[in-house]
Amino acid sequence: MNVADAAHRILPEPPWGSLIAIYFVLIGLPSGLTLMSWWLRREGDSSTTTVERYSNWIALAGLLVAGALLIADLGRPFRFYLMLTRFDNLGSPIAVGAKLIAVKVFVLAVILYAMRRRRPTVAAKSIVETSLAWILVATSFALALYPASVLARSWASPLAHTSGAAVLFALTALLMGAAVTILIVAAIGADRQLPVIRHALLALLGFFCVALVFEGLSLGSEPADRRIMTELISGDLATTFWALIVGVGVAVPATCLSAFPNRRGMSVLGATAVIVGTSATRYLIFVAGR
Amino acid sequence: MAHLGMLIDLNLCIGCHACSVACKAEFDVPLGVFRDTVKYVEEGTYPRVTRHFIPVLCNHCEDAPCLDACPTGAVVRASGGEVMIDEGDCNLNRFCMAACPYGAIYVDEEKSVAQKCTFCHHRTSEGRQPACVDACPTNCRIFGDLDDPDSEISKRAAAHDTRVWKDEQGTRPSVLYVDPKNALNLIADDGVQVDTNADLSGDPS
Repeated sequence: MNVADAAHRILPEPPWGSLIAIYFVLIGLPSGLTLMSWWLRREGDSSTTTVERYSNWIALAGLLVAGALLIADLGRPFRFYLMLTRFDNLGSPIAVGAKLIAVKVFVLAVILYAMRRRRPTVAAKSIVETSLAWILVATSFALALYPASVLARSWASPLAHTSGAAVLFALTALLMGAAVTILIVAAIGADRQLPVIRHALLALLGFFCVALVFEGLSLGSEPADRRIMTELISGDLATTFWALIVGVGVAVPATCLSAFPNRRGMSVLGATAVIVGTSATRYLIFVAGR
Repeated sequence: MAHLGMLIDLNLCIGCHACSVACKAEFDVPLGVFRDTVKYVEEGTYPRVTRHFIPVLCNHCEDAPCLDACPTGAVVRASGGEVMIDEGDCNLNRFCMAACPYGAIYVDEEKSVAQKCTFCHHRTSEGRQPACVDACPTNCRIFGDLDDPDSEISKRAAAHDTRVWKDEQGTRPSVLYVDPKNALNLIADDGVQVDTNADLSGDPS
C-alpha cells in the first residue's frame, strides 16, 4: 500500500480552463460549415449561393468569436497579436492553427466582399475565386483536425492522444456544419436543399457512431485508457456521454431525420440536437481523464 | 557546448525544503507555485512505513516538450542546454504547461507570464551554483556539466545507478536521481498517490 499526501499532486491543475474548452468546441463549426457549404455548392443549384453566403457569414462570425475567446483567455489583445505575428515555432500546432485562422478569416472576408460586389453565379468563377475557394476548403479541413493535434500534446487531455481523436474532431466539425446548414436552409426556405443535407447528416451520423465504437475499442489496453473508459461509461462523465452524446447527439437526430423526412420542424430539431451532441463530444475529448 | 544538469541523491534528501525556500527567495516565486519543491511519498503499512523525499524541478529535457510546443518561440534553450522562458515573447497561451509532463511550469500572475526553473542561469553564468544547490544542507544536489567527465556530477553519476523521472516519456531529462529505493516510481503513476482504503476512517466508533 502506498499512501501520499493528497496535497502533493503529481501534476498541477490543468492549465487550460473553460474558455479554451469552449474554443475547441466552437472552432469545429466554421470548419464544418465551410466544408458543407463547398460540398453543397458542387451538388446544388443557384439557391446554394444564398446558403453559401449565410454559411460564410456564420463561419466568419464563429472564427471571430473563437478569436475573442482566445483573447479573453490570454488576457490582453496584444498577446493574440503576438500569436499572429510571432511564428517562430512552426513545430507548434497552436502557431499553425493561429496562422490558419488568420488565413481563413482573410479569405472569408475577401469572398464575402466579392459576393457582395458581384454576386457571382455558380457557373461563372474566375481562377482567383476558385483558388480562394480551395484555400478556404484546405484551411477548413486543417482547422477541423487541428484541435486533435494541439490536445494530443497535452497531458491534460489524454483522450486526444487516442487513434480516433482526429477522426472524431473531423466528423464532429462536419456534423456541426451540416446541422447549421440545415438550420440555414430551413430559415431561408430553400427546401429543395433539405433532402440532400439531411441525407448527408444521416450518413455522417452513421460514420460518427462507427468512430465512437472504434474509439471505445481502442481504450482497452492501457490502465489509464481503461480508467477514462470507465469515467465515460459509468463515472463522472457518464451522464454527458449517454444523455448528450448518445441520446441527444445520435438517437434524437437519427429519429427526427429518418422518421420524419418531410417535416421541416423535425429537421430543425434534429440539427439542433446534433449541435448539442457534437459539442458534448468535443468537450469530453478535452476534459476526459483529467 | 556544455550540457548542464543536476544529480539529486535521494539517500541524502531530508525533505527540509531549504531548496524550495532558497528558490522562492531567489526568484520571488509567488505563493502556491514552485520552481523547485520536494514531493513527499509514503510507502508501506504501519509499523513498516517509509517516507520518501523527492525534490522535483524542471528537468531541462534534451527533448523538451515545452520547447516544441510554445507557438511564439518564447521557450528557448541556452548554451548550457538549460531550457528557459523569454518573458518578452511569452503570450501566456500555456501550451508549454499543457505539454510539460512534469508540471514544472507555472503562471506568475503578477508578471503575467509563464515561469520555470532556469537552473539559476544568472548565477551559473557567473560561475556560481544554483540557489537550491547552495542552500541544501546535505549536499544531496550536485550541479555541473554532464558532458565533462572530470566534473563532480559526472563522477557521481558514473559511481551510482542513476535514473530520471518519467523515463517512459522519452524527454531525456538533465536532472538525474540516485534512487536506490525506487521512490520515483511512486510518483510515476497517478494511481498510487492517495490511498482511499486507509483504515483511519475518522469514525470514533
